[in-house]
Amino acid sequence: MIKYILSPKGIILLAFAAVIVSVSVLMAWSELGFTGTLPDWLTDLTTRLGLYKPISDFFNSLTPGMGGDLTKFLQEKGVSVNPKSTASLGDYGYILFMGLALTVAGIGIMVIGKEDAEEKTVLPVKK
Amino acid sequence: MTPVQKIVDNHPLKPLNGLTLAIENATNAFMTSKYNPFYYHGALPQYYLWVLYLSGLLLFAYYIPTIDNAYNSRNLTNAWTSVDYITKSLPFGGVIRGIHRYAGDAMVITILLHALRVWFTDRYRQYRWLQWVSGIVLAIFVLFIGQTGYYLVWDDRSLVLTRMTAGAFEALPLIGPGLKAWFLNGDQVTNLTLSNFLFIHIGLSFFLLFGLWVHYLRMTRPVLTPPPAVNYILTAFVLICVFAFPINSGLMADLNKQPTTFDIDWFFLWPYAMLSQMPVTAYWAVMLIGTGLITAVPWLMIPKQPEIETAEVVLNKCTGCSLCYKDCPYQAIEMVPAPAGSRFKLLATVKDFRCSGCGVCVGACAFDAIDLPDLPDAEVTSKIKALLEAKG
Repeated sequence: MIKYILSPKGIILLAFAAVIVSVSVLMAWSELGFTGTLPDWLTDLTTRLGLYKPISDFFNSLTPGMGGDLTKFLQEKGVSVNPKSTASLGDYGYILFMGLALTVAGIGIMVIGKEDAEEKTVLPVKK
Repeated sequence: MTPVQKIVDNHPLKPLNGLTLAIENATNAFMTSKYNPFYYHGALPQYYLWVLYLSGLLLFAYYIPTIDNAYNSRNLTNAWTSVDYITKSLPFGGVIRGIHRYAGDAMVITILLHALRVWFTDRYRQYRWLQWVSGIVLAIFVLFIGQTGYYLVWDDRSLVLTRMTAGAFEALPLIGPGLKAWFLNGDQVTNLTLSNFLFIHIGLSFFLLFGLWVHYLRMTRPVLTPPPAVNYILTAFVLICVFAFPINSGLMADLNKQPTTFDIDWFFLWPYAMLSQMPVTAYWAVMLIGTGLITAVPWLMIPKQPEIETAEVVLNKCTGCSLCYKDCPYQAIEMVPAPAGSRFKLLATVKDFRCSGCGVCVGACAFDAIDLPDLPDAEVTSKIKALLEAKG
């Protein structure tokens, strides 16, 4: 047992379990306002990761003006966010990008995997 | 021609069967059978079920099932404000709410495709009646779970739907008042009502797992998961919908008002559109008769089922190798200990009540140890060879 825990696999599992427990506890901590000396870690983390940005930043870097168009599209559909929060219209931008990336990935895998797709039927040899 | 073949050839839905197969073949031409979603039609709704569980987990963590209780540290006062908080203030809350909603819609679409495919290709009768009937029950549960999701938002649409449902339940004879009290968790809408809705929404969702277990009985190798590439496309479909049709709540429900119009989601809320167009008695009559007819399809479409000629094991040839047991699609073969004196450990036996006489076991056996009474092994093998040669 101890040997397993000290193996690379065991250490990874332990670290994974520790992260899950920590995030679960800290989530409640953040939500309930028990900040104490800790900052509101969820807000802090999303800000540090750059998730708290408008949709226009990323898409404008692809094509100038694209971010503005998508923002306008979402606002016309009634999407709004609380300006005091870490949520942003950029969330929808990430989701759109993720959706397009998954489509390309799915089609790519299908094209590459076509070669293995030929069915082989083998009749049993009667003895 | 076997009795089963005769039924298949004279089946009233034969043209639709041909159409289904033609669509599948056309799809194979550019996707190959490995990635053809029609070959995973039963697994598609199940994939969306996992998406719904995961996205629902986050929504559940932040949802407050009350109509006027307080959670003042975050200025959240009821279900509507908690949903508003999830949508507008929580990082990725709005899109996860959208994923939950559109994965539900996608599940209904894939369930419908699954049911039509099974119906058109004649995979629902005789030994598969259990799959058909349990599938109908599962579909009804999915519909009701989705509807309770709309109540939970607690906007003006939720209020109308809640009142319409309570009214429809109350109109039922004998069980009506009790059903209404169960639904509202009391005589009228209170904080306990939303707790009940949440319990129904989540509780029934997990009941689906039990229903799926029943659905898979008598299936040797059900396809539970589509290949990753198909999963990617399924997920992408939902994500793009989240962006293209972002989710918003209506106005907060006000018990002193009676909203008259609301947007309708045709995947889940079509029964309410029916209910608004007809008297409640007629609504129940249509729903009950319609459900009864759909459930009875396996018996109504082909009133006289053909007699099954079940497979027979040739005892002195069976080596107990289990090939037939592994290949039987209906779990109709059981491996039992061989009788004393046998040089083999196991012996195949056929459960007559599950056997469809399909001949798969005959093709699987390498020792000519299992036969159909009217379809000898040699004939099965020659038919398979002929089909393969015809296919090229």
